[in-house]
Order: sequence, then structure tokens, then C-alpha cells
Amino acid sequence: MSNVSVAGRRFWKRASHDFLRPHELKRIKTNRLPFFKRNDFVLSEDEYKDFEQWRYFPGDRVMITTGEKKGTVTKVVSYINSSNSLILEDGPTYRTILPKQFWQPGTTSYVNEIPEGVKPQDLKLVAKVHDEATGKDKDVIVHKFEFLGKHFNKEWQTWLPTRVVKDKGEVLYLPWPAPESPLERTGASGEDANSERSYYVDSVVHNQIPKDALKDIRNPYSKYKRGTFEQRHLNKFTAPDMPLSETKKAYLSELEAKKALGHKKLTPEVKDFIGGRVKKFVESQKKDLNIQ
Amino acid sequence: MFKKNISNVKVAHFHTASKINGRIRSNIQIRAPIEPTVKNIKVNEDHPLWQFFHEKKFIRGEEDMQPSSWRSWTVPELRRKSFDDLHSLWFNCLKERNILAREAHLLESMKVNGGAGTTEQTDGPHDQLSEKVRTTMWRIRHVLGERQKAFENTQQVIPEYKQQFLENFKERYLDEANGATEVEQQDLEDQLARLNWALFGIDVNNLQDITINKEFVECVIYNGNLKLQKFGSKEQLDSVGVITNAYDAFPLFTLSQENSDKLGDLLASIEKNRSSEKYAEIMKMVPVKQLEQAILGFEEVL
Repeated sequence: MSNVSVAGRRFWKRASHDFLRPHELKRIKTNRLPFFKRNDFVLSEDEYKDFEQWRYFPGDRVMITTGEKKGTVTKVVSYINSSNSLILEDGPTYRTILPKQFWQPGTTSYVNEIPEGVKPQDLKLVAKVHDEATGKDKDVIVHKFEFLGKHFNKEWQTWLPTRVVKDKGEVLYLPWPAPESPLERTGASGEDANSERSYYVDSVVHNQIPKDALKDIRNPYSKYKRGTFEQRHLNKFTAPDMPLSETKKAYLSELEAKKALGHKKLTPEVKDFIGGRVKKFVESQKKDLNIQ
Repeated sequence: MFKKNISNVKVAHFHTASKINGRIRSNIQIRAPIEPTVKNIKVNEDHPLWQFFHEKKFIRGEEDMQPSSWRSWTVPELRRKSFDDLHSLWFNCLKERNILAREAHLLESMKVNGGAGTTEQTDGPHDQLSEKVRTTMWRIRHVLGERQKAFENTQQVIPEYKQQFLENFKERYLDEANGATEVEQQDLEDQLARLNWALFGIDVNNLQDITINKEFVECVIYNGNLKLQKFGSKEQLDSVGVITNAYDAFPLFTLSQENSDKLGDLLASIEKNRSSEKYAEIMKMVPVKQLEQAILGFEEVL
């Protein structure tokens, strides 16, 4: 659901809901004809997605190892995603009734032979090996192969896993089949478009990005953007002062009053009085200790 | 009861406007009805809404829509591209996403399995491709953001190194200009032009739409001094001295290898201007105003 913006996704979700009302759905379910549940279908989460799971590519030559067609060497035609199986050129078929809307040109009867899917584990890969004795290519059935890393396949213009056969320390590469006709990529950029360089820094004063483009390049509402801490933030996170009690108010006003009086300088009379008292005390002490 | 009676009455009549129309244009001929099919709708080749279609296809087939064969542009690849290239790539990506969204919506309305993203199923090819295009788009923004950050960092650092760099260049320039051949002189001129663009942001070869600002004044004074030292004799250098204002530097700034024989005339005109009454007033002006005065005042000489 990435073709719509993040904000638009919930609208999309709502629009994609089934338009049928619950009672209509119920009616459809109850009135439906009975049908046989097919066993070969897999759940959507179990469907094969990688080449490693499929193991074979359309165009590969394979040998069937089980069933009526056991031993037949044929070609892979396509995948059936819903049952994780492959359709073969000369593979097994089953007879079924085909409604007229599915008739292909040349179909004359309702009863038809339909190709049946074959699981990848019921197949063996057939490869060509050059026989030095006869000087000709010969078919070899690959008992076991594995995947070793990935390589860029020029024919398919994509990265594909590398199929190899490991035998007695020797590694033999099994190429993927080539496409029937060379691929034409109309939507993508050219092959060398990515490596061509067109950006050169030639000035430290001149900015190559236009001024008007800057607001589109940077997301002003980015969650990773670091802001500056301001006074308003401090105010927000600072708790307000609690109201003072009457006693505290009286005490503070008393302190204020005392503060307002200020420091007074000692008058000569007071100094004489303090000095007299100190002298009297010192003399009394001397008298007690008999110090002269 | 009354309502039922009214609804049952069948009235066949023309609308008043139709009657009037019929009287005015009495010779209207009845044509064959136009069948309401898609074939009867003609669309111009250059209709803007074709931008929402891939090569004017109603919907693309499987062969065009293989998510495994598409990939996003990587950041190192995008770093090689100029702003214009990135801009056009962005525009193409945007168009592609529009096309994908249209096709996905179409499949969604047709209820085709996996065509568009449904909540229960895995993403279809349209969604996978759209995601890849989106990745390219955020990477383009990322690369441009990186460039802008680098540019801003440079602006903070460059004042420290600018003067030193200019001094080094002057030393080397004068050294190499001494006894250089014609080809080497041209090469040095090109080097100076590149320096002016790199450090002052002034394209010397295209001064038509230049705005006079601080950088241009600096450029004029630096170039004036450089050319005076390159073309002037020792006596001329001693008499003029180091030029510190834009008014004196401007005539020398216009000097080049071809018209270097005009140096004597220019220096004479500079001396003449210095002795005029206006000179003291011009020197009190800001450098940008000085330069404007120089362009007007020296016009006749140049």
C-alpha cells in the first residue's frame, strides 16, 4: 500500500473494504452451493517467493521423477503461485469440466485435459555436458544442486542466485535459461546512466541548489530535527510556587522590615559601654586566676 | 389518497424553453443518436492526463511489471549527479508513482488478486515497485540535504583560509606569469577566472547580469592588485602603491593580456581622479558605492 501517502493510507483502507453488508454476506454464504475443498492450494504466506524455493526457472529442462509421466524429460513453462507447483510442457494432465467462458480457440468440448502442476521436489534438472569422447553435448541429470551467492544476469538484467553442483571439491555452474527474446526495459534508466558523473563542486560561494528548493529538500517537521531549548520550555517544566501560609508571610514581612532598617554604625557612647563591660569582665577573670 | 391520484396522472408536454427554441430554429433536423461507447470518445495526443499512463497503455502487462528487475538508485550513484539531473529524476519518479497508483486503483476496483495492496494479502507488484521508486525519492532528498549541509559548513570555515589561499595563488600566479608563452598566459587567465568563480562567486566572462555586492568588491580589489603587479613596472608600482579601495581598483580589474598596453593610460586616469575634489568624498563611501562611482566615472576611459 505504498502507492498512497502515509496520511492517505487510512482512507485507502476504508475504501478497500467490502461494500457488502453483513446480512448480505450471510445470505451469500448460506445459499452457496457445496464445493470440494482442494488440497493442493497453499496459504498466501506459504507461497514461494524466491528462486531458491522454486529451484527451476521457466525454460529449464527437467525430468519428472514420480507419477505416470515418470522419466519424461520436458521443459518448465510457468509457475502456479497458488499451489507452489510448476506447469510443464509435456507434464501430467487431468480431465475436468471447463465452463464456456474459459474455452480457448480450438476448444470444442466441455470436458478437457488441463495441465497439472508438479512440485519442484518431484523434478530433477537436466543439464548439457560436453562429452570429450564423442565430441558432442550430452544430457546429464543433476542429482543435487545448491545455491552459492548471487550474480548479475545480463540476459535477465537482474540479480539471480547462482546454481552450482559441488562434486569432489569441484564446482560446476548451472546457467539459468535465457529469455526467449532479449529483454527491453522501457521504464528504467540506461545501463551506464548511474555511473556518469555530472556533479562538480566549482565554487564555495555559489550554491548549486536553488534557494526555493531548500524548503522541499528538508522536512521542517522531521522527528529527527533537534530544536533549541528556550525560556518557554523552562517555564513549562518548572512547577509553580506553592501559596504561603499566614505564619510564613508574617515571618517574611518581619525579615523584610528588619532588612529595611539597615546596619547602624556604633556611636562612641555605645563603644565605651561595650569596652567598659569587656574590661570589667577581663579584670574579674584576672582577679579569679591571680594574674597580674 | 390525493397524492396517489397525482402520481398516476401522465402528462406529456414540452418544456417552455424547448417550445421557444423550436419556434426560433424550426429547421432542426434529427440526427442519428450518438452511441455512448468508449470508441466514440476521442482524446488528444498531447492531453495532460496521458502523463498518468505508461506509453498510453490502459494497464501494463506482467512482462513490464517485474519487481525483481527494478531497483532503486543507490545513494553513491545519486551523489554523482548534478542538481538538474536529480531534479529530473525526481520528476520522473513522481510520474511513475502516479502511473502505478492509477493502475493499482484500477485493479483494486476490479478486485484483482494482489493487484493492489489489500490489507489481508501481501503487497502486489504495484506496491513493491512504488516502494522502490519512493526509496529513490527519499534518497534524492537525502543527497541534496547532505550537499546543503556541506555548503553551510564550508561557509563557516572558508573565512579562515580564504586570505591565505588568495596569497598563495597570487605568489604562484606572478611567478608563473613571468616569461610565460602565449598558451601558458591563456591558461593562467583561465585559472584566474576559475578562482574568481570559486572564491568570490563572480563569473568574469559574463559580467552583464552581475549584482554589485561585498564579494564583487573583494574580487575587483584582488584582481586589480594582481594585474597591476603582473603588467606594471617597478616605478609604476611604487607610484600607485597597494590599492585598497574599489574606486581605484576597477579600471585595473578590466585589464587583460590583450589590452595590457593600456596600463599607462589607466594609471594616469587613476592619478587624475585622485587629485579631483570628488575623490575625498568617494573614499568616505562604503566599498559598494565606491565601485558604483568607479563604473560611472571611468566609463569614458574604458
